[in-house]
Amino acid sequence: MASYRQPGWPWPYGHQKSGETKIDANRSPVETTTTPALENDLIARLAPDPTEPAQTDQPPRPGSGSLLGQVSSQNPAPNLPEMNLVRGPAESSAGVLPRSRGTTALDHPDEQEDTILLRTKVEELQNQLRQLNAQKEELSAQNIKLRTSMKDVLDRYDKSEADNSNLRAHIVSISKPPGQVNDDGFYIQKLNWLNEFTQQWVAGAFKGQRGQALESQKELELQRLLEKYNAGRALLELMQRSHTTLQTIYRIPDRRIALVRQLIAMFLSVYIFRPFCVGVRDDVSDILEETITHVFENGT
Amino acid sequence: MLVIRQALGRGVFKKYKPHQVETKAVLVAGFEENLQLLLPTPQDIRPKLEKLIDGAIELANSMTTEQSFFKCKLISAGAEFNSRYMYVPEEKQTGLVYMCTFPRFSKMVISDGKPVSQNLVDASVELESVFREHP
Repeated sequence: MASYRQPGWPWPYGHQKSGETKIDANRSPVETTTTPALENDLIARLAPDPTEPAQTDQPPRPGSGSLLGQVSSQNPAPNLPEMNLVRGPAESSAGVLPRSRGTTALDHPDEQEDTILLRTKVEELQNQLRQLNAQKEELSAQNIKLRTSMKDVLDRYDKSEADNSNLRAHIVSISKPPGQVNDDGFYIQKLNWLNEFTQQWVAGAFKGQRGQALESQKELELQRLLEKYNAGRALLELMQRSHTTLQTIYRIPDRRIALVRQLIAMFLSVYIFRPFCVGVRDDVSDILEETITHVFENGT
Repeated sequence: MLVIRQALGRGVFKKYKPHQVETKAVLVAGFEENLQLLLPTPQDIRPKLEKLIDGAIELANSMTTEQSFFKCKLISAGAEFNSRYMYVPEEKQTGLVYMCTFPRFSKMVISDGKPVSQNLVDASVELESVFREHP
């Protein structure tokens, strides 16, 4: 038994001796029945005392040497939490290795070192497991957070889609935005048409022959007509200054055409385009036009 | 301001539109009677005249109900020629404005807080030189 303490002692697994603890190779070595503190105590007690002479081939005294057997029976199985190790087939249902009353595997220094190494490894694995569990919890929390966030995004998307649909329906339903109904080009085109139509029609209908005389009665009526309008009176004044008469104008087709166009322009201006609205009496139209003009120019 | 102008125009137009058929008939008859004084040969000018007045009234109604402030101005005889808003068919014409054969149309707009006239169509005019020359 003293040779158990010698360095270089071969690993006893597979070389079972009578009275030694049989260790199943399939069994995890960390699943011993002793607690770490107890094992350390045992290792200290089993270590050879340098002050005492070496005892050889003496069986261990009951109650003093190998205490593992007693301890095994007296102490419950060690509690190794968080370890999900697979138990070997040879392991008993109690999870306790059968031990002899004699020496155990812990009596061997190599086994002791292996046990320590394995214990260290177990602790590392436990730490890793704790870290992994912590990471798992953290990831789980993140997952829940992301799912909540994703749900919010989807809800907002649905709401935006509904708003968009309502907005499109509203855009379709609304009429033309307030502002000028027809652009300036519309009015320019219409006015140019009116001018050209008048010009062509008058040129064809009133051309006549050169030198054709205007009847006196018609000349008089024409003069009275012109006197009714401001533009007509201005024309008559200029004609008088330039020693021109309606008769002389009428005799030359181009001048006659110009005079007809002047009359049409005067009529259109006075009766159609100058009034606030076609058909409105002059006094009403004047009031409306004055009001609008005043407000437009003065703002009040 | 222009919205108020438009609202007022639309209200007045709504009131007077039913009477515009009668107004048009009166105008056509009056125009026809006066223009016949200058006809070199007797002829029926009513169809063309109606077409002319129909187009003019339709355009005037659009202006009345528009969100703009249009101005129609006939250039008086004796006015100085201004090429910014007057048009002469022949560039060789000189002198004062003798006849205005088509009125000037403009639109009032607010520029820098002040009302200004924006030209739409120039007034067509004949100048003094045309009537001074002797054949």
